[in-house]
Amino acid sequence: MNVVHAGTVLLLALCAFTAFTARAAERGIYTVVDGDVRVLRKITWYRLEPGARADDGDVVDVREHEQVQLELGSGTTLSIIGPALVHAAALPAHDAKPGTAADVTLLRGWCKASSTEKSAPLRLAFTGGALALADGIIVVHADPGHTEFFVESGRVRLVMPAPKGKEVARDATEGEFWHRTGDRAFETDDRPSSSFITAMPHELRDPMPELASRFQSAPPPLVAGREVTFAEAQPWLSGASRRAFARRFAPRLADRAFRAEAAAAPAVPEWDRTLHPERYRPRDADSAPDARAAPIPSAIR
Amino acid sequence: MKLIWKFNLVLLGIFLLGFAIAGYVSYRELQANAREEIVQNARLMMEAALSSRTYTTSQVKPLLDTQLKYVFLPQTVPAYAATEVFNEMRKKHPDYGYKEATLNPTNPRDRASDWEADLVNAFRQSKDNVEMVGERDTPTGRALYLARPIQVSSASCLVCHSTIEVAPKTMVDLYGTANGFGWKMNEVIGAQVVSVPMSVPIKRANETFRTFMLSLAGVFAVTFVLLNAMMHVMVIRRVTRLSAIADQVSLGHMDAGEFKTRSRDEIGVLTDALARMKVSLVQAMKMLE
Repeated sequence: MNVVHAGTVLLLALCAFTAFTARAAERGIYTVVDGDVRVLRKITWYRLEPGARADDGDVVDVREHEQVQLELGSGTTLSIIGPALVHAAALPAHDAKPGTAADVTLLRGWCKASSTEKSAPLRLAFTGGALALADGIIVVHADPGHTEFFVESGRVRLVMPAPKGKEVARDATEGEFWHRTGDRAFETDDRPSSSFITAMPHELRDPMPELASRFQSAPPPLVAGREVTFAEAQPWLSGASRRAFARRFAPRLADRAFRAEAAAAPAVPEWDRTLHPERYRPRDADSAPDARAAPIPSAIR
Repeated sequence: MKLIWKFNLVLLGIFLLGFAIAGYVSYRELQANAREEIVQNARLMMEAALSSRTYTTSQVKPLLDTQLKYVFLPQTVPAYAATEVFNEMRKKHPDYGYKEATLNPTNPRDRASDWEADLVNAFRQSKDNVEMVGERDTPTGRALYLARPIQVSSASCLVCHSTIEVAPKTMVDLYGTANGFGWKMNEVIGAQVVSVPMSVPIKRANETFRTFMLSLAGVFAVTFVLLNAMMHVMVIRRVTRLSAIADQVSLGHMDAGEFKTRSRDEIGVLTDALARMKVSLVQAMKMLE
């Protein structure tokens, strides 16, 4: 009898520990999924469901008029309206040290982000810069040729790359509207432009609801779809995250079509050895047969 | 003059006097009730307007505060909300009106007209004056107005109406910088004016009065006819017969008829007395012979 009791207690303790560790490791919840939104994990697309847990490296593809809201465990919240492409590079776990920043890249689309003093700071990167948000609410619109953001409340630090690998930081405060076209310097205004307001999705005009508490039960299973194509991978194979994505997408080089497209596209240095093994072959081995069929090096698998 | 004519003259006089007094009193009462009903309607509309204002301030505006940072939404302004609610009502009842008549409004449609400006100035001159009720002619007929002062009683009003620098930029973008600024705390800046048409309640009161007077006249007419019929059957006809027999008896025609009756009323008693008198007269005549 004692053995049975002891076993039961041990089992309960194990369950509690598992639940605790699962919660501690939780990074965020997709609390609003409006439309057919998909998330790329490793190299596979999944159909996103409300309540799904966020993970480091998630690439979220939001189509036009669709919406996703991601609430990080610390309280930092992002609402993304499509067409948008977002990469959650690093999301602090629930038990992460205070002050650990969430690192998110907005490749294109509209995003509203909020962070408080008590929640995790957010580093929202876009093409050619990043916004460091510690206590405030911002609305950002980014596309390859144009970036603009409005500080709805609080303040945000704009970090821009400078010559010699340095960075230049400028503070934007509540009510300020910043915008730039291409690589030009940011211009500021004391109110958002009419074109910004007109184009801005209505969903972002309201405060973001806190819905995470509704999704405390087990997350829904995500349905796996196909693997990432080269066209979908290509936007990530340049810029600051290139190395990480090259390593992540390397297994796809085993796919003949993916590999052919990769070989035809601008070079990805990390893949060069795989795609063009003849360039790295010793000169005396030039006569080796069928260089194109070289296996994928284990280093980038 | 015959008894029936005298009776009818008196009865008609009483009827006419009663008709006139009843008409005068009921007309005044009905008109007063109609006006009171209009005033109550106006007060109800005023309370509805105040409720719209309070609802907008306490529940709608907080929900739209974030949106106001992007674009000014007049729907968050209490005056706008109250006016729009009544504009919806006016689609079905165009004769009713509500206006937040203001001397220096942000929205030009709220600018006070001449007579409204007089009301506002009256409120500004007398702080104790909290409500004014009056009548005026309008293109659609006579209307009753009820006005209450709009006083800057909250600092939140001054966010939009003190200076251009403090006002929300999105509001300035929409309405410009020319109007709606310079308001001061506790200043009476306008008046809520409710306008209610008088024609309908007055018409209803007049119809009620006409129905009442016609009914009264009908009752009088029926009473007149019945009283005349009763008078004829119960008094005139019997007295006429008695007097005809008495007249013949007095001329010595003892066979003119009998004073006979089965009634025990006053005329019956008189008939019996005349019958005894005739018997006595016959006996006296026989004794003389």
